[in-house]
Amino acid sequence: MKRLIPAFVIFILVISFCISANLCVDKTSLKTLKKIEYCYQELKAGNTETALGLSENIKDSWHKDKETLEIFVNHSFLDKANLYICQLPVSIKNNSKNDFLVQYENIKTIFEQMSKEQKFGLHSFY
Amino acid sequence: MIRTIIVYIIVTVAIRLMGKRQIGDMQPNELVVTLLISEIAAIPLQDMDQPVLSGVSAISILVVLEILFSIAAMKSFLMRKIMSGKSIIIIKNGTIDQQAMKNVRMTVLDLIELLRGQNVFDINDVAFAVLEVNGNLSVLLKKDVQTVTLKDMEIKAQDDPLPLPVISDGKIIYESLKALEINPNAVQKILKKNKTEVKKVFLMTLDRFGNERIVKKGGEV
Repeated sequence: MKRLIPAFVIFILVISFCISANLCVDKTSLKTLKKIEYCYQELKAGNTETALGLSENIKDSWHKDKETLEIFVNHSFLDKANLYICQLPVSIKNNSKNDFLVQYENIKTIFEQMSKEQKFGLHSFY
Repeated sequence: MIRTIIVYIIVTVAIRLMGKRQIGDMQPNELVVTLLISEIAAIPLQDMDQPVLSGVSAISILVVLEILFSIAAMKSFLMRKIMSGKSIIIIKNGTIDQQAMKNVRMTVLDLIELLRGQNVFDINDVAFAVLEVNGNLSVLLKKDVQTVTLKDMEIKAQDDPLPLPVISDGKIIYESLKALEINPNAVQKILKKNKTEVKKVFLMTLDRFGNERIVKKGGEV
């Protein structure tokens, strides 16, 4: 019974870690995708300057969020997402909506993969 | 480097929580968990993309499972049988159980080797041999080849008292005093009688009958 208490404490800590990882990934990806979506709307409307400002803002806030996510998520996912997010201002400068859209879709896919990895599902069994 | 320190601490704590056992004494499930822990601990050290906490949480889950299953095995005979298996009698009343040997895939040569490990060189001397769940062979010799004991000779003798170290390298070991049910003043009295003091003692042992042995620092007894 003496060992049951540390086991229980460890179990609670692991569960809290899993829940916080899940919440953190979901919150950050949702926030970043929303910002990119808004940025794309501005780009589509022809407000290149605003879109550029927004994309730089996305880049800065992503760098901050990335540090927190590194605790929970495989760093290769974050590095890939980082690459695409850093390319967003370049696409706006080149006025290439198609490139922006491709990068947006890539980021979305990476975030979905990240989120899926944290969640309990059928993929946990195979 | 920081990762290595973190993983080292976590693995040490995990192994301590699982209890003290040597590899050879482990039950099958304990061995599996130990092997898995060593494998998982290596992942965040080799792959820098992998967060340390993912390895730590996996190790923690294994430790929790091991503790829960060991408690369950303690409480339930069926659980113990499932988790660790059961002991198998290989030699019964001096007769080798060939079916039991087949079941555990043991050859006669394996059996003879295990018996030699128990200092038994003639299989005919064995009354009972039991293959334990950890792979050790426990042997009961036939009465006529067993060593004569004081009980056999009907000689009464008192048990030897266990001497415990009460001072080690100039420091009193309070756990030993507690076990011997004496207080530090009693130790001081013994030291005074021997014209020495705690910090000058390299080793002092004491048993429950008050027999002491003092080794002073510098090799003086």
